[in-house]
Amino acid sequence: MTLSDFPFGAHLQDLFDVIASLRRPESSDQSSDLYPFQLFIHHRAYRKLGWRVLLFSTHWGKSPFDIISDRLPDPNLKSESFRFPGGSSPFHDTLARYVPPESTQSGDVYLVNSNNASRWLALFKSAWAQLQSHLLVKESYGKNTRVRTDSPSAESVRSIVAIMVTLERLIDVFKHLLSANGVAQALAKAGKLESLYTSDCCAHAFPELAQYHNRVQSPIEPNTAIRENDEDDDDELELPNWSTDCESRHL
Amino acid sequence: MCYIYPPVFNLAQNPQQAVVRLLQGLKTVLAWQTSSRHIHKKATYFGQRVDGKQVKFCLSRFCYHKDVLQSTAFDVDAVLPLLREWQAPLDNPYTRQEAESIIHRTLNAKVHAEAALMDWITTKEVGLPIFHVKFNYHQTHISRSRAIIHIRIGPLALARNAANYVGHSIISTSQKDSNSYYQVLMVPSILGFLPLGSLTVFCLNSEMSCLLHARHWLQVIPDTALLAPPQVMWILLCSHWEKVSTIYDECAENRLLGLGHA
Repeated sequence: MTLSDFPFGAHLQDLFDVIASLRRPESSDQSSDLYPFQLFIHHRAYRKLGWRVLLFSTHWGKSPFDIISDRLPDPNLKSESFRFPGGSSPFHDTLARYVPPESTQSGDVYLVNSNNASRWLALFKSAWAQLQSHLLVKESYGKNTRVRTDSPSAESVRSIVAIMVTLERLIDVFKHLLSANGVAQALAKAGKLESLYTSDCCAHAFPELAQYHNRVQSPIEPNTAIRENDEDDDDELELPNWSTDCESRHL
Repeated sequence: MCYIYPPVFNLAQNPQQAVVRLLQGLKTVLAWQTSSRHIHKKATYFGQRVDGKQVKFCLSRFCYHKDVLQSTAFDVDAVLPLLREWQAPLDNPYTRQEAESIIHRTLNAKVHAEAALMDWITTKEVGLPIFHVKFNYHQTHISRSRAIIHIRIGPLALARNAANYVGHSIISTSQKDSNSYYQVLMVPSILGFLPLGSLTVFCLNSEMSCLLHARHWLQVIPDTALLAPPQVMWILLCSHWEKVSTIYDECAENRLLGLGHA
């Protein structure tokens, strides 16, 4: 199924139907419909998601994970602990493959420090590589990478959502890794390449990316859909604190 | 809006800015993940809190149907003209800019299958900049702990339901002329966020206009909070656009008379 199968009107209709059908599970035994909702959204948004992944991968001249990796031999990283509640799940299995947790009386704790920073980064690099494999394709000739034009399979969409969940849950870990010695300076240095993306050079090397960049008018497009303080909105609304963490059941 | 990055040498002087950009980039990649969960939470909340069918009812009103009390099927052909209307809003240049922004992003949705309706729902920048100058409330007392406002409203049942709907409580009622007045107790935390949009819906549902003395009211609400209507509420407001326009005209007249917030 291609994008042309979803004209704007049909897309609106579908979106309306999906949102209107969302229901909170009546009991904890019932699975939430959040997960299929996320599948639907990512399936429809795969092109733009692909552009964002491509932009993130190339904006600093090379993968930002590689830039960080170059600085990790001497990270001088303060040790911090993180908790990821939810029990056993594919997400936790993934974590355990890279950085086994330390069991405490209050549950599993994941440490991020100089000794295991490279393993954490390997996890991010692996997840990102998988995300790229689902959303980007290499051109048959040349070295350029472009966003896939065919709709991803259902299995791919499931993988994409799983990776998104993983990255989202680990974003604080990623933030901590960025505090490693020299990472900020390395990113700033690589930031010089930003200007290339608006230049003819970029237009030649990544014509589609340059086109996308010119359209969004920002190297990294701000997310206007959700503001960072949205969680506060829930407090104001006195939203019940039910678990929406259906990912843990699916991942 | 053109987003202009600082010169490269500024990055060198402030490397942390590069970290901020990187995190912003990752969050942008994760945008659908976070927004879809947010929408799910909101939609199921209102579906659970109010009525199992309320969300669908609210969304169906998005069709901009004249018969606002009748739930109607979602009509794409009715929605598209509504979207286009934002290209030429009535009289507010800032609204026009916002409208153009909406149209731009809506067209993005067409091209990239971005969830357009989600974007509408989660677009907090629109709505209240229009509505907060259109609707005002007679406010009799404000203290640090609470504010009491008077709302002229229709049947008591509607008032009570609406108050419950937004988590407020009616503390007294009175009669003046042919209208009922209800005092609604609002806690400060709500003051900063929800009530304006909610009460707009409240009043619109009762087909009554609001009283027009809001200078103090607006002063106690930070401007940023005014820009933050709850997403689903915004759909509600949108569905009542015709009535909003009508009442807006009335409010405009009163503003000219110095009765409302200018």
